[in-house]
Amino acid sequence: MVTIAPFAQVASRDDAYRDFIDRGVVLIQPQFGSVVGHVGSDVLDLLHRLTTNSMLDLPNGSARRTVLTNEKGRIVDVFWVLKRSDKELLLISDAPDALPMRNGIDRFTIIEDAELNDLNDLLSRWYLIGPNAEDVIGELLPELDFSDSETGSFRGTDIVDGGVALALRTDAAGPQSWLLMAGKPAVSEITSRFASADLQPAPNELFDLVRIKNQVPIAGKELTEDVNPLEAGLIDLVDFDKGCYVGQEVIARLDTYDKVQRALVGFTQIAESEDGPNLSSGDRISAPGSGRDAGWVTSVANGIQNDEVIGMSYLRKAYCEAGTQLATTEGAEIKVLPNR
Amino acid sequence: MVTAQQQESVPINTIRVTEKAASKAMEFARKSGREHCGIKIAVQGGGCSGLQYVLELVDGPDESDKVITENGIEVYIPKRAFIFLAGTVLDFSDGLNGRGFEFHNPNAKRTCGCGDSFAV
Repeated sequence: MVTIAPFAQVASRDDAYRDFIDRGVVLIQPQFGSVVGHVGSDVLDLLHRLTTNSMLDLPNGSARRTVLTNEKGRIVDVFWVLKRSDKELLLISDAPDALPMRNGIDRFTIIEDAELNDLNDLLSRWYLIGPNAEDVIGELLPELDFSDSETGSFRGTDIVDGGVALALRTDAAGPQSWLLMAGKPAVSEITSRFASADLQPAPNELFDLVRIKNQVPIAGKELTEDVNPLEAGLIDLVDFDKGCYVGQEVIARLDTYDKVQRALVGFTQIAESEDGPNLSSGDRISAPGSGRDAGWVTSVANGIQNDEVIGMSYLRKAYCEAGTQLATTEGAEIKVLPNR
Repeated sequence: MVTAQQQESVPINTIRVTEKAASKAMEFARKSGREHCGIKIAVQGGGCSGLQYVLELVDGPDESDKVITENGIEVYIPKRAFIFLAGTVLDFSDGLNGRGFEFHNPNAKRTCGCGDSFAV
């Protein structure tokens, strides 16, 4: 990715959060995620055969999210497919590393005319998130109309000669999360527009805090090879009518026979004292009484108000009801939050 | 039906098309009005197990295809797909329980329920 430092970073996550609450929008320059180009006459057909969602009916200039699963139906990556033309796609992932996705596609590219290209050096990325993100991005890119957007809405145009700006509403941190991408020639124009709008990049931890508050899973934390798309709450990304794809038999069986064992939930830590046990990603969670393994913690963030600690975890379905109290094997007590 | 002995007798550097499969392929070719054609056998990404067979009537080979003549029919195999198909027998199974064209592929470590997809 192009490294630019147009602004001093906001001093702290908490200051940035207060600014976010005041303005209803925050700018993040993500240190995670990647953009991969997929070019060739067979790209759409190949992704249709390899991933969970239907791809063949994707119109030009639009985007759809899909899941790449392995033969066991477990998640390799979850990414947006942005169709620029029949032969040119952008694969946009928030995973910390695009290699599993690339390898998962490359491995099954045999006779197809399809090639993957790393575009991280050519496209800079920012997230604009918050209830006012749509209004702000509309002011930043007056060349485009951002009204009536929904998850997956895509807009793009050249904002300087040969410098494209692309905006995709991914809702990656909750409702109204826009991913803004700019080609090299457009980067200085975009950053000067950020400066004019008094937008400074906030720490990446704020993205995580907002995401966890909104209970949105992300690749690398919740979306991993430990789980399948149904456990991760991604059933909307599975087309059960499209036919075979890698892992389809397993996923269809889980759905048909109602065999999904776990679900993703949000939780808050029940703080007994300031020096109580810490929570960390990967901590195992035990059932009360029996001590039976109930699941594991995937994400943790310290809230801003009242030193609240929130997180996300996979739990066996019996323990997913809001208000259920559980404890990690380290002794930290948690309470399941209602689904958002 | 291909027996284990028949499967073992296929050299690893080729693939076989049984007489029945060749005859059926030629029958389909005649019905579709194609007098001079062969069958393309390939592998592409997809299916439950990651790889799936491609079988189609084509007018001739592509530049990079390996060409084999089996039981009177020309078989074209893209070189990039051959590694997944070496030693395969293409058979045809008819009757009430028949499944049509069947691949008996010694490279397939796992196949899905429909038999069209496999993993190596």
